[in-house]
Amino acid sequence: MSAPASWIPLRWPSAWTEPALLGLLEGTPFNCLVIEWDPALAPVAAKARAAGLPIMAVGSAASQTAALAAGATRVPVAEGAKLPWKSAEPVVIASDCVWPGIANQGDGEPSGPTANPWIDSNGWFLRLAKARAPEKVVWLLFEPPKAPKVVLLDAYLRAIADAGANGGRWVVSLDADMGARLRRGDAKAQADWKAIAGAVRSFEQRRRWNGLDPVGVVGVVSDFEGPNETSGGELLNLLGRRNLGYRILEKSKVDAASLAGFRALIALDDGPPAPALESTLTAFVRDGGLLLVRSSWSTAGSVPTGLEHPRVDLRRMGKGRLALCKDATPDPFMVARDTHMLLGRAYDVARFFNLSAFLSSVTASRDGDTEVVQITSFAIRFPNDLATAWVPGKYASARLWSLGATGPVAIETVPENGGTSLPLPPVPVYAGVELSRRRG
Amino acid sequence: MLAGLGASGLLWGRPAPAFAIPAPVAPVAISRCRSYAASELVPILAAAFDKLGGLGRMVKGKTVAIKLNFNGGPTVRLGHYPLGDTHWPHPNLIAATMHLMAKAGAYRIRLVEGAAAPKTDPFEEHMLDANWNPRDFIGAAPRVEFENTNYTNAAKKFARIPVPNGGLLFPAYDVNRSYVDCDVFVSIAKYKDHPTTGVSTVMKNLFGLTPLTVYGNGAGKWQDNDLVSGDDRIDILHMGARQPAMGALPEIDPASPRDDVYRVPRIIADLTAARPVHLAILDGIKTMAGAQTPDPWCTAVEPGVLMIGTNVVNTAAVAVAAMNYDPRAPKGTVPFENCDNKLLLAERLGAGSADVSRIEVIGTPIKDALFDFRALREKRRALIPNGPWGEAENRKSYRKP
Repeated sequence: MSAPASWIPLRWPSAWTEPALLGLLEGTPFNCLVIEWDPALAPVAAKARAAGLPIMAVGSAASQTAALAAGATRVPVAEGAKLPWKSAEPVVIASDCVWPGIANQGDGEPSGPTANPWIDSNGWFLRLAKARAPEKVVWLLFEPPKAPKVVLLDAYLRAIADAGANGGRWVVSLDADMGARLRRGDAKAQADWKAIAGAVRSFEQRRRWNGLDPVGVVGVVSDFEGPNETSGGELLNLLGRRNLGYRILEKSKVDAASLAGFRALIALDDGPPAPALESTLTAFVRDGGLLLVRSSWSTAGSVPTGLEHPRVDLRRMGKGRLALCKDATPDPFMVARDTHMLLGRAYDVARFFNLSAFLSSVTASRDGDTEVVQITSFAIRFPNDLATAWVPGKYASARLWSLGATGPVAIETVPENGGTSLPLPPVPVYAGVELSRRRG
Repeated sequence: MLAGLGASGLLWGRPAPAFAIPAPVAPVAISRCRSYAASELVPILAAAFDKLGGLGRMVKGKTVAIKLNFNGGPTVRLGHYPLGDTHWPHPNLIAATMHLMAKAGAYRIRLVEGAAAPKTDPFEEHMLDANWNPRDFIGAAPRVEFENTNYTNAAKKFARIPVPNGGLLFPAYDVNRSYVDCDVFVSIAKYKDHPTTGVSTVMKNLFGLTPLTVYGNGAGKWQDNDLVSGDDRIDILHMGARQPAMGALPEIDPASPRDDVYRVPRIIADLTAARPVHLAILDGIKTMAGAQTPDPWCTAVEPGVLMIGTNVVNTAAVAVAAMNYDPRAPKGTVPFENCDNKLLLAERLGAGSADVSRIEVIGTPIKDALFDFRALREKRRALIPNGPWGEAENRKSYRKP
């Protein structure tokens, strides 16, 4: 049996009691079944075991016990905040995930505070997981919306891309209709199944990208626990929604050396900072950084800048700026946008054109030779809606990876505004661009 | 003349003034220019200014406000083209203009535009969002300022600019003070087609003088809310569904047509008369045909011309003629199939002549600068008969609610 880190999971539908249905896995990357135990699945489990397929047990304690008795393996499954990050488990499964997509707020207006569509994504959580336990493989356990909602192929592909682009694996789970149609050999369902498998394979082929580091000059300093769990997570989510490159700094690990390369820090955890942290962050400001903190932060050594701002008291301190949120409980949406504007778009790690409801990720190798820009689009685009990405660096070659494609295709790198513009085809769901400083 | 206009319906609902207003004419310089490279652009631009009498007499020791023409959002491109190649004036042209103005002794240059961005976003950030570099402008002249004219900003209040002789739709407009507190007012824009008013040039650019906080769809609802952005002026200005906010004067005749093809040309004519332009710079080096903001049916084109004039109506008229349209075409004919002709409306307000036979063209003759937007328009019409340039009913279905 292969190592758990290489297991690629499929949530086995409980209605698929026929062992012959395991044949659907042929030619797909799925090599692990996630099962909520039912005695009717025993023949399937037996055949899977015989074929060397690992089985993971999820569901109630009773069903897990039964599954374990039938040869399944136990994997830690918990809400993200409760996962055993410090354990030796190579794989953990987060159970409190969202179905990625444009969120419906319930009032018929799927939008956020600025009328931009609100996007549900698990990307921020995967980035936090990587910061906490970079060696672990994180699976996301969530199911497609239930009837009467119809789940189109693109929605599956977005769920796969949202996890894959951020280094995680979705435990691919089929909706009841898709499962039933696939079971009876429906041609359209088979084509969709092939596309789903192709999308998963596409990310597995590029697992090496998960070793790249996030690019960004904004640091989020938090313990992401207790009173800071929700607000910290939401801040990461909303920084991502602005496509503002950020890096996560676990509060306990912050020291002067860890702040090298940052231009702005956001430190909004509840309660007063530890003296050592306060001292380190103050030194960061004095050296020219921007620090966004709660209103209770000491203003000693700072002077007002005179900027009129509805939410932030901006003060100068040494060579840098101290921004105190006026609201006692700052709104993460505002914090994300105010940080972006106080820092300035001059530090953008990428810019995007002709994309609306989308999320991006920019990562790079430590030597700076390789940079990867990934885009997951959540909007329905016109077929001729060409997109453009721009990155500030200069690159000699670029390769585009699309879902389901057998391999990358070379794309043009166009000098623009001191950086590199990347003319992309329409991005219906996902595009990944690997840039190299060397000629391809 | 104006009595005849009233009879023709051009001044619908308004008694015609009892006197004729002369329509001024001033030369327009046309130059061939194929690229935005400074090495080609700067000398051509400098020569064009010289042909008009030189920049020095106009800007020396003065505060200059340059109204940019940022139609649509900063992240919307026609295909892969940077915005300056299609529908925003090219940043190199703006920087070159600023450089030459600084060289000619301009005291201060202020880049002004009603950028659809929240109040707390510096205007420069809007440019960066479009992948422009504001440092290109800051470095082009000694004193450079940026002003998002959707807000009152440091002035704390808007300025009121009355339309001479009463106006066609509004008696006066409230605008950011930068449009008033300047010695030299410059309009810089591409020439393009425009679904609502036929063509978009240095005149249509003036529509953007109207602040969204007063005339935008959210006007009156969000003076203190800096979040709202990306709004437009459909409700109040295009459709007349309600009156302006923040104490601005209501329109003259609330019973006049609630139709944007009637209203928008009149508003543009009003603004052309109310805020005279001292220098109109038309970027026809690269632009697009089909609309003023990218739409699937638009075509990127490279006419390779620059046009500069000291009268905005004259310059617009020459530009429209160089698009192979008739700047005096009546409503119902190309390019004003559905709308009133804003050039004629402005002419009749005394802002400038739309009669190219009266306008001295210096440099390249119009016939040699001609780029056939009309042919592209006809081609689009044949390919997409239900587009916004078609019959009134089609256009209404295109129009935003």
